[in-house]
Amino acid sequence: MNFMKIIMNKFFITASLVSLLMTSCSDKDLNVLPRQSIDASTALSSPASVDAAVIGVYATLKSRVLYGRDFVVYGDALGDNAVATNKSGRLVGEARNNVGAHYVNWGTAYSTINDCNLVLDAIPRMTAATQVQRDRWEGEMRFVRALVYHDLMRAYAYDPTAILDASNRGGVVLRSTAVDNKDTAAAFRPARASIQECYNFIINDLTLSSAKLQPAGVARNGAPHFATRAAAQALLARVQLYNGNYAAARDAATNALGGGVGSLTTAANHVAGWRASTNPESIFEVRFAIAAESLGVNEALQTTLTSMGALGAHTSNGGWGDLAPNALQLNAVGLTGFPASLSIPNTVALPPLTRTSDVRNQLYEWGGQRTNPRFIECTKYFGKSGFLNLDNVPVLRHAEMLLIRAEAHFRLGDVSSALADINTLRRNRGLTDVSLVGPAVLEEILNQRLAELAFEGHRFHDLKRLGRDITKDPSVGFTVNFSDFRMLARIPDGELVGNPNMRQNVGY
Amino acid sequence: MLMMAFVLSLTSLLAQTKSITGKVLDDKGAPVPNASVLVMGTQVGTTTKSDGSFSLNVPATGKTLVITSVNFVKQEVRLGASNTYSVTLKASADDLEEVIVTGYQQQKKREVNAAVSRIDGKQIENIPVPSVDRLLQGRASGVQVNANNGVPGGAVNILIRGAGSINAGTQPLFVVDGIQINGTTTNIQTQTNPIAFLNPDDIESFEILKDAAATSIYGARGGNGVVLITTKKGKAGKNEVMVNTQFGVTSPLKFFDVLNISEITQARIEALQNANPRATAAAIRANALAGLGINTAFTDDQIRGLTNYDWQAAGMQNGTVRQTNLSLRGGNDKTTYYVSGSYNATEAIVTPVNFTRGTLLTSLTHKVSRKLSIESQISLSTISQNGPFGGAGGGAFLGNIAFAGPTILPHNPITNPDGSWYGLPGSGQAVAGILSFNPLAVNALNTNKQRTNQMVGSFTINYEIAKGLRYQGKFGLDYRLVQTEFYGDPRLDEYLNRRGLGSANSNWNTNFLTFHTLNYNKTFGGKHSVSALAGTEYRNDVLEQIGASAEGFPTPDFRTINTAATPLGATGFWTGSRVFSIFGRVSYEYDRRYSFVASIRRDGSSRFGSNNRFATFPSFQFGWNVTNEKFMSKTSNWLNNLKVRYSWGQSGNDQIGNFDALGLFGGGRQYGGNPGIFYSQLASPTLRWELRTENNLGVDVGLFNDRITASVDLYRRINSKLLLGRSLYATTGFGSFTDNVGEVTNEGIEATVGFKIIDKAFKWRTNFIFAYNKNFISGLYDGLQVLPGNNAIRVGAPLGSFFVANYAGVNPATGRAMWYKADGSLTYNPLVPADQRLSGQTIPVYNGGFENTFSYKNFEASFFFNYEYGRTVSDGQVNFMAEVGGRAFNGLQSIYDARWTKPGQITNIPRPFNGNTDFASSGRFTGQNYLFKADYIRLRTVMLAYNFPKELMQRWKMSMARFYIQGTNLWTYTDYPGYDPEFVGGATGIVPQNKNITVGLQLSF
Repeated sequence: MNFMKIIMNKFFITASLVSLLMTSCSDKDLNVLPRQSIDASTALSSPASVDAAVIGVYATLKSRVLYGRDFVVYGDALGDNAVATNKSGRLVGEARNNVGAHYVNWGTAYSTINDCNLVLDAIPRMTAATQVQRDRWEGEMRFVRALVYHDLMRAYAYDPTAILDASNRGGVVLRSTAVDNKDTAAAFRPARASIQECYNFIINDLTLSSAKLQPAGVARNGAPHFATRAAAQALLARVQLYNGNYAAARDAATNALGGGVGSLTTAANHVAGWRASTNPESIFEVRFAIAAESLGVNEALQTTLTSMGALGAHTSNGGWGDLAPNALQLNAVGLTGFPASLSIPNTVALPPLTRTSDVRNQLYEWGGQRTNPRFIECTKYFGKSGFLNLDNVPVLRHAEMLLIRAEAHFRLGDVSSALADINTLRRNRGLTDVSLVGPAVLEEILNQRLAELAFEGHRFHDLKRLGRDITKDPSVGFTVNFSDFRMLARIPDGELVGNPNMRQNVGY
Repeated sequence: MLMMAFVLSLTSLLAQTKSITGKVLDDKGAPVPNASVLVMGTQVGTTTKSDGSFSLNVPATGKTLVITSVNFVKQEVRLGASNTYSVTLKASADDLEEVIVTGYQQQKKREVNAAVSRIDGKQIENIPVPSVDRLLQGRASGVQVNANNGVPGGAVNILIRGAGSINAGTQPLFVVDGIQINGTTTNIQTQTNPIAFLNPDDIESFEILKDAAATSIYGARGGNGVVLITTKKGKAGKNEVMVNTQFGVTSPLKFFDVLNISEITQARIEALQNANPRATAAAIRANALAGLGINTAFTDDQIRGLTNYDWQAAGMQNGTVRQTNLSLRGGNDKTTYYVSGSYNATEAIVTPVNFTRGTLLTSLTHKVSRKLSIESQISLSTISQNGPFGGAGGGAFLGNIAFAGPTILPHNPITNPDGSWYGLPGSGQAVAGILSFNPLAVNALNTNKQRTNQMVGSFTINYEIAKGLRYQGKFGLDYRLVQTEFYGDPRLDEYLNRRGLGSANSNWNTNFLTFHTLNYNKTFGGKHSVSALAGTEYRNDVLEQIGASAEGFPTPDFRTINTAATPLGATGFWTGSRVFSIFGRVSYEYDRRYSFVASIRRDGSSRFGSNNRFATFPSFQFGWNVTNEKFMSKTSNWLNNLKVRYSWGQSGNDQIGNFDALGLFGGGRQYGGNPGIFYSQLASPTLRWELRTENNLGVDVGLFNDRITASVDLYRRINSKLLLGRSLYATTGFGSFTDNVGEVTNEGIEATVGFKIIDKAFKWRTNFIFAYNKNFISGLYDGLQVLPGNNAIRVGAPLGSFFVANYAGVNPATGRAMWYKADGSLTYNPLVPADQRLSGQTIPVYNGGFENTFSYKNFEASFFFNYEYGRTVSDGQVNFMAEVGGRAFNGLQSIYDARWTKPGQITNIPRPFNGNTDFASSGRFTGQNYLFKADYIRLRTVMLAYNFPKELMQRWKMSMARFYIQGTNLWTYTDYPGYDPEFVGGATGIVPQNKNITVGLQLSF
């Protein structure tokens, strides 16, 4: 009996060991899959998943290096109309045009572009989707791809209207199909296309986008937060202005203005428009809806530009207020009465500011208590979406279209139409009409661009596309000539290692 | 026929027996229960009872008794005419018969030929550290331990024989009593440490498996070395009660010598004037004073008259350490137990950072039958920690008092006369400077709490299937729940407008492990000793997390998120992995002279690509005990031990993300209220282990009866097929994918030398621990010499290198910082990467320790140093404090005194400049000028103890009473300018380490 027990025990132990070996060794048991991700090979197989991927593409526009911050404020920091207050130390390098302190959107932009391409490649497979759905996806993805490509061109390449031939290393890398496996990715040795190839690519995308988004019902609900035909035309107007094709710019601007998305604000509601969650002028606007989307207390637009806790509450504490308008900017909106140093100590009574009838100057006021001294700050982004540090970003809006069309008219020799557009804008901003001739018309257009589009990321690019030098604020004390290599951003080092096809911009 | 004769002779032998009795005692006269008493050359034997006694019928042919017991030297007793025998066993602690744990089994130290270091629990007794991994510092050669910060119970960085991986983990595997501990640290509100659940007093020993031959038995998890921790177990015999309690104080290691407001004003004026050369002196002065929150009308004398408050002293104060342990140990020959409870409360020098832990360890062993025994072990612990505001790792470092104390403008008052905090919103008071809030108030009012409840338990079955063949089955669980709580108080600026911010998180880790082994031991022919091990193991490890946050609290008294008005967000994740393994080990020893060990392990892991799920890791070891050779008998009077060892092995590193091999679309993106997905990761279906291949040659020497002992190892460790995030050109839309490319080599020497300098009534022993390690990247991929995207990863350079422009000092004419260009000329703007050079590494080249212990009669004393040499780090905190005027911060006196102020001045510190970046220059912290040598020698511990005399003990019916006083980190020799040369990482806004002195009393009944 005892003997049997021992045998049984041995048998039991050996059997359990063997069974453990047999059962657990299978490859299937070692298949552990994540739960917050899905397998890439089958991810884009249904209309619902493609739709989610399209949403995923829009979401990238909120990143800091795109429209979360950099493409909204770097155009001013790098330009001649703003100063860094050195409160947190952010944007000091950009406002001084230090070497390397420039746009850094390269990686994020190409990630967005590949996300667009993945959807574009998947659309023909989506036989379960309706034609309307497929057209909408294609129109949306081509719009976003064009927007991101144009911003890459604005940062890393010369604009067609002002190319410094000696320093021209071309445009950026063009990709029209998706990378979806590591072998393709590892074998890719990209080269920069020419500036004109890049513009042709962008213009083609926008032309197709306009066509696909044209029929009624194709656009999503929720314009201007999603792409529409009007948005595609508005972006096309901007791209053609940079491209120097003024007739095309003029026509696209007209289409955008008549596209049914948004309308020009008036002197009565312009300021209110900047307080509303969605700006009534927006043709395309990047949406920041919930608190979790905020870029936070250091990098969001509100904290970057303002330091008070509430509008008009100059003894309260809010964000950093790292970037402030300078005299050129303040004078452009009709604001005077501030000291030459642009700032006053917290302890000093607020000097009264003199304001003209230009309503745009109501978007500027003395900042808050947070770190001395106090600067005048721009309040275009002040928690409009209902949370601190959460603001929608108008990317394309009616005033810009008017200004593009005015400049196109002027370039095409139609000065009266140019003046008409300028005066339309002036009247809606509380100003009276002007009657000008010759180069003064262009200067008025540029001055209105400065006044209207401040802290929306345009000034540096306006100077760059016109081949002008950047006369920095007197406190910075130098001029960045158009010929200076710092006009273009640095391509990330890693892009050049082991790739003989790639060329860095001059000077880096 | 033959069989018949055998049976007959057996019967005849059985007829002629003699009955004997005896007692087995240890060298102190205490009975040794469970000792095996065997008649040599027969199967006849018994075990001693709990009083050490035995009785036995000895066959007439029996001439000798062999008595063996764990922890004792085998003793042979010749049988004479007497019928009673008293046998005294000698403890085997210092003997070559010492056994060491080598993974899944114990082996005789003599037969282990791989690189294994052992640290006895005694060596680290009574040192009050919250996590025992810090105790390894300097005590085992080739094991480099660095604190990530001074948070008690915080994470520790351990490198065994250098770092072998660029992107995968470099931390060793911790195995506690056979259970592999999940190495994840959850650092949300403060830092945790996966083995902080252990009470240091419960530790019997550490065994550190260093070379690949030793770690090969742990296969794909062994590539970074393995630390085996054995806790105390029950012992048959008298019940033993041990009480150990200690109390002490912690105090800061260092305060910075910073500026007063008058000097800061001067620096700011210079910085603004230099940055705005066209502005008038009056405008600059007004701007500077305004920026510092000083009345712009103040004269220099009035500024000098401002009070400077000592924020550092207010923020970093002395704390207390309290620790009490109570343990019971005992049992009989059937059942033994060890039960212990402990309580530890440690305050860091930075309030409110602390660590409070309670532990309970229960270990039971029961012999069900002669062949079957079961063990159960349960370790429970609960740890609660208050973290610093902003996270222990320095996330929002501005709020950390260790950062803010020395950098806040010193004329800001700390409190109001009524004791309330200065500068809270609504008070009308403003804290001047960039640190525009009261950091002490921030730490006092906000809540940063973390609670860890951990259970590590196991159930083990041992069964002797046949003589020499044993089965062991173990089922273990490492379960850890980490809960965190954050509350941003609405009385503070940052949370005023949102009326408070709260968040809560739960992370739980369920790590199940089971292994089953068969172990066979046999000695035959007297000279051949064989042992074999075969086993299988399965581990399933899952980590889950949920969290939520909300804002808008009615008043600061409401601090749970259900009382908030607005929910902000919810988070959650799940990750898991499974490993299945089979393994085996064979040892053979001939005549105590030659030994050979071979092992093999085959692992399958869910982490790797579907094409490469399984891999095999072999190893072998060869040892030659030269002193056991006959021809060495002449030298045995002075050379008592000489052993030469060689080992070769392979092990793997699987420390990458659980899903790195898969192509994934991730969620979590959203736009306009809609959820979005995106291609988050490219598939890498061929992904497999990093392979570590290592050759190790070692020599162990004992001279003059072990008065001098030395152990020296030479190794060459090559980690190939590195798990590297292989960079892609960003234009592909992806940053990288994980691939097996590249190779890292570590070569080094390790030595441990011990001296019994005086070995009489007065004893003095000294130990030197030394390690040299040369680390370099020996290959990348596609013929690349530099890893795209990281210029410091280059072939021939050590891991952790700095690749920066060389600093050329200050241009005496302008005061501007200059750097060397590649051609040796000077520039204000060095190019990246053209003008950059290798400049130092973060992994030390030399490290080790030096220990002295003394004893005389009832007194004992010891001191222990550890050192590191050849390490360079960048210190974020020092960089901030070297701005001197660049922003409205306080800074270092030494930098201020050496700054450039007038043309012709020769100095290394550039002129102050608002914003820190001079006209058309690189920033002042570019390049090598703010890298520091982090070499140090530190007096890690000092101990003085008094053991109460034996007579007194007997009168008090106690077995031991000991009073001790000990100090930690009391003295450091270093040129390092920051808080602590030991830190890993940027060191910006992290809690510094402290020194402590404790007194304690240890009693045993």
